[in-house]
Amino acid sequence: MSEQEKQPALQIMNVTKTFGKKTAVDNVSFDLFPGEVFGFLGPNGAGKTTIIKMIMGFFRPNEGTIIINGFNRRTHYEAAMSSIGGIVENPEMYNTLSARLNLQMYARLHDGVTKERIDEVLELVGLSDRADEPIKKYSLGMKQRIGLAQALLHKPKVLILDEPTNGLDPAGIHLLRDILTHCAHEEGVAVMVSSHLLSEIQLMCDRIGIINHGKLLQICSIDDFVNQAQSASVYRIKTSNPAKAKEILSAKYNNKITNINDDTLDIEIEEEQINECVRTLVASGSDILGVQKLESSLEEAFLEITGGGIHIE
Amino acid sequence: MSKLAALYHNEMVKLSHRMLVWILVILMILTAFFMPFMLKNLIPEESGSSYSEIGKTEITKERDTAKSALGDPNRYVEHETLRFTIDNQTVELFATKLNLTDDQFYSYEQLSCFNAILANYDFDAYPINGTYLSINAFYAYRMAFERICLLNMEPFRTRTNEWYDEYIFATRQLDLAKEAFFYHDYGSYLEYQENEVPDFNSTSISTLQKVIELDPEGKLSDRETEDIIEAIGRCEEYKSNLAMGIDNVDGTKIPLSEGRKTQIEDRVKILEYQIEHNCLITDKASNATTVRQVAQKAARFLLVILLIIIAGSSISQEMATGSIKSLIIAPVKRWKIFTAKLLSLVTWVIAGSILITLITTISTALCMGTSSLPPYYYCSGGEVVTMPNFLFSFLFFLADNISLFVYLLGAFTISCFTRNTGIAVGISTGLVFCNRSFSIIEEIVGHKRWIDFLPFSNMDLAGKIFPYFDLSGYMDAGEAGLFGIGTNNALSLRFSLIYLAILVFILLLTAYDGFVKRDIP
Repeated sequence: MSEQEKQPALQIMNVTKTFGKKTAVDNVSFDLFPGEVFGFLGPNGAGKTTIIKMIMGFFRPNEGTIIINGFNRRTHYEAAMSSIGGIVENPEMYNTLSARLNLQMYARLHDGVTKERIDEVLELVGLSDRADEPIKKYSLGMKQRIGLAQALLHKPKVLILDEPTNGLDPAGIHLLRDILTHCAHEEGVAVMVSSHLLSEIQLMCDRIGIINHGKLLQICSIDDFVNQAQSASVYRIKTSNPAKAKEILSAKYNNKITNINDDTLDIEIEEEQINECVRTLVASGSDILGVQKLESSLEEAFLEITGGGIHIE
Repeated sequence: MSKLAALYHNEMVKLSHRMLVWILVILMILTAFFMPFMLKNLIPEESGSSYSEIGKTEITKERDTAKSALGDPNRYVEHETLRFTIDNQTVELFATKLNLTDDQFYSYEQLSCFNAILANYDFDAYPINGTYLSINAFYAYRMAFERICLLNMEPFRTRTNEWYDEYIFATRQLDLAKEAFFYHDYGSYLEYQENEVPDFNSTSISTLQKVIELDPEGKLSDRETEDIIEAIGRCEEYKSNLAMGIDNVDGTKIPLSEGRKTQIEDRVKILEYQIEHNCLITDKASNATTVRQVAQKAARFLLVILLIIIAGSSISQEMATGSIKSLIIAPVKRWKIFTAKLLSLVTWVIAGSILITLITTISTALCMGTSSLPPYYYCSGGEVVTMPNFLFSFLFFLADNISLFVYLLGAFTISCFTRNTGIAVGISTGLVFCNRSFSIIEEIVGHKRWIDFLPFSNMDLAGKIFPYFDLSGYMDAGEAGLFGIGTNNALSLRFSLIYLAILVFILLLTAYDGFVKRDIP
């Protein structure tokens, strides 16, 4: 991948965070490159938000280094933080103030954000005509949009969004996806998104990281992840006597048979093996009523990686 | 620095969009403006004003009342001519004896005294117009008259040599009193007083001499002269205390400390200056000052509520609503957020003090006259100097608000530390409004050294920074306000300032640790 050659926009190096005796984030390292959308996945309590909060300055890591746009967060706080924008959990602002005023106040804390830029981002998220209403009159979706506007206001090098599709309508999700893709691919922003919708991640992200129990389990490109999920597929063979079929197949595919029902047998094999498998059954006199490929979804792959059984966020 | 300024700007914008802030500010302005008008009506009319002018008509009226009560005065009077032989010479003495009951006596005395006045007094040339001399000489004349009448009650047979001596003395005193009263002559009045045996209430001769020196013509009003006499009395008390090396703290005599010595010497200088320049604090000035001070404190009550809410919610409220997020993700260090919030609080204390002082001064001037507010007198390099009233009252108020700021910092610290607005506002409101009740500790257990180390004993700064406030008509700093035990004069300004500085440092450190060091959940 071409991103690998670039200087990372965000470097997380051996970051550990403990709350009391509980280790929330355990020695996590990853890089975020300009121009990519990075999906951050993990079940509830995995340490996702803790990592995001550490990047955004809410928590201090117990150990490790966070480097944003080449600046160490610890030693060059303001320089580092001026390159980052984002939303943590829900976007919350000063409710009694108008969206425009909120943005103006936020703009004051950054260098070189003009009045025109405020109008520009309001236009971008489609809130120009309601920018002078107080935030408390906004719906959750509108708050997400204004949060996004705030995050983009100072043209950050790194954009971090914690569940940004939360509360957005389909049009909003579409807009968000367009904006993020535009930011990453056209403007070279490094975007990091956490979402509970894997399909969203699949549509938006170039690369994903999976975290559970505070540990980063896997980082891979979305294509690799999808391929990996699809490489070993489960096939459902419909036969009148699945028990017999199991006996026949267990000699060769002993561990691959995952499930037996009244008239079906599930077997996890490579695509090229299915022909041989069916031939073996036919040769031994079993009747084949049908063969169906069961789609292995990202969720299943995800569950598998994170140890399964955990409710996905 | 620009980030700090931006944060500060944002803090002000946020506050200016809070409805509660505006409601309380408007209430504060209204209180500051209308309070003096309301208080003015509550001030009792100056006592003794009925004596401002007595004319022929009033005296005639009283004379007639006495006359009708007594009937024919002649029937109570016996006359006798006593003949003596002294050194072979016959001396004839004409004597009068009065046959009066106690009730009749007063009417008789009044009748004869007022008759004498009506017959001989020149009301046009020497009006009895409320000057100290005219009133006191009038009393002296009546006293002298009464004494003669009393002596005349003595029966002829029991009149001894002492009686005659006394009678001669009484006649001489009557002459002096007459001279003093009829011709407004301070010299005769002084001589009359010199002859009298001083009683508990009487003005000392030396004081009277000073009064005559200042006002030889006797033109000053009773009130003004009384003020001078009181001031001279205070000066003398201070001087005698200085000479004896004692300090009078609320009636208790304690050894004089070095710091208090200079202060008392300065007090003497200020009083002497005020006496000499006839700028002692009049009742009117002290009433106006009191009115303004009470109005200031009433308006401050609202300011305190407002500021405690601002201070107590500044961090915790933002955490509760989540709006802190947009501050945390901004490229500003947390200490700057912290400092900007503190600075906005300081701004409010100062701006509130200016606003309240300005409005109360205007409204007090409107309802009690522009000349009613005296300057602050103090000593600098051995010279008595004055500070303009507005500046003084602003600085005094601000000094009084240093303690307020300490409480606000307390609210801010609790807010940072507990991250709970309710706890922060509740605790600090309780402490502010109970401050003065803590003096009860001292009342119960007596003065103990550890009491000096309670915050409440060190909150009364205005009175310590401006120790001569009472010489400018100010009430005790703790009198109508929120702060200060008031009785704890023994603690020096330096002690209190160092104590508060340490307290502020600890509070700041705790707040800093609570907000800057800890994680934001």
